Amino acid sequence: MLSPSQVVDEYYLEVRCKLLEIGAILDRYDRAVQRTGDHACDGDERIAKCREALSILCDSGSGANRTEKIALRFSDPA
Amino acid sequence: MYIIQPHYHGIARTTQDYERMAMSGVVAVAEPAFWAGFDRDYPETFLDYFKQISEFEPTRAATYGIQHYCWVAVNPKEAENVQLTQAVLEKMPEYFSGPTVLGVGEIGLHKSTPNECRTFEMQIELALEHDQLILIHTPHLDDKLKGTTRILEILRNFKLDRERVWIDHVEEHTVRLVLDEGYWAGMTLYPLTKMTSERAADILELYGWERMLVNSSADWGPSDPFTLQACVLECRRRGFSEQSLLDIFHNAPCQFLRQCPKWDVKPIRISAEE
Repeated sequence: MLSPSQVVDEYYLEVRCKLLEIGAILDRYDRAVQRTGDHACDGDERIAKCREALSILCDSGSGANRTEKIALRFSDPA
Repeated sequence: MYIIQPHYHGIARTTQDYERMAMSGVVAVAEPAFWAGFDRDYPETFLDYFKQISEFEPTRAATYGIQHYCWVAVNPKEAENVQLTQAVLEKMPEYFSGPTVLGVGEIGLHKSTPNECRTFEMQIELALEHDQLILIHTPHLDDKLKGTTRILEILRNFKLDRERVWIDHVEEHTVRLVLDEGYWAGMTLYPLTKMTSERAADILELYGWERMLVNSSADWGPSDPFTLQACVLECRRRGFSEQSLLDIFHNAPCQFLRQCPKWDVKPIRISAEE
């Protein structure tokens, strides 16, 4: 298994890029709404799920288990 | 689709790159002088490198019908060594007369040290003295904003035609700085870690494509020359017209690079029959 510093060294740039990409997608959505005046997707459950997933990412602590929580949030009820 | 790769480090790539680029519409590439992955010790090593990119590499590209041009310079990573840079610069003008040499690049800053700033200034002076186009590298990650700001400060001390200067690797937080001062801005697309094709398409939508160049990453590190074609696809998906795609990915490089009289790829206009 990797050490904590190895994880940071190995994945920092990848995380940085993915966060920028998520920011760009959300900005793209906002600009599309602004440009068209179409707010039909504002209540779209998928957007709400993404925002909830982003808040899960901010959970801290070793038991945060973010990936499973996000996967469950994106899952249909069993 | 006709595409120009304005920033392509061919010596680090396989011939298969040229073949696939040719098959996907690339008609010309321009190869800036680059870091070899290690710091070179001798001026002569640079001179052989200039010979490779100005004499040999065009023959490799020509096999696939691709026109190959290049730039000569001491790249920012090695420009920390002032003495070595001075020795290379003494010989560099001999290469300016090469039939495929477009100008001085890529110069610029890596860690923005005093030595780098000095050698950056020396290379600008040389380019201006010999009426060469200038291609400037900006740092890639956390130091991009600081490095770009410092580069713009240094450039303000020179009396130069800003339309003959291309500042590369801009991202969301630096593109406006470069365009507002009248320079050409380049976006470099990577498969991971840096600017992506989708974000580049966003920037094109936001800022338009006047004085804007899009280039792929193509070097010896994690990179992919076909990120440029991915950007074409992304722009097409967003409804860019075919003429707009040609203007961005073919005609814009022509417009900048034809300021060097050796560049002979012509812009393309689509004409529809009645």
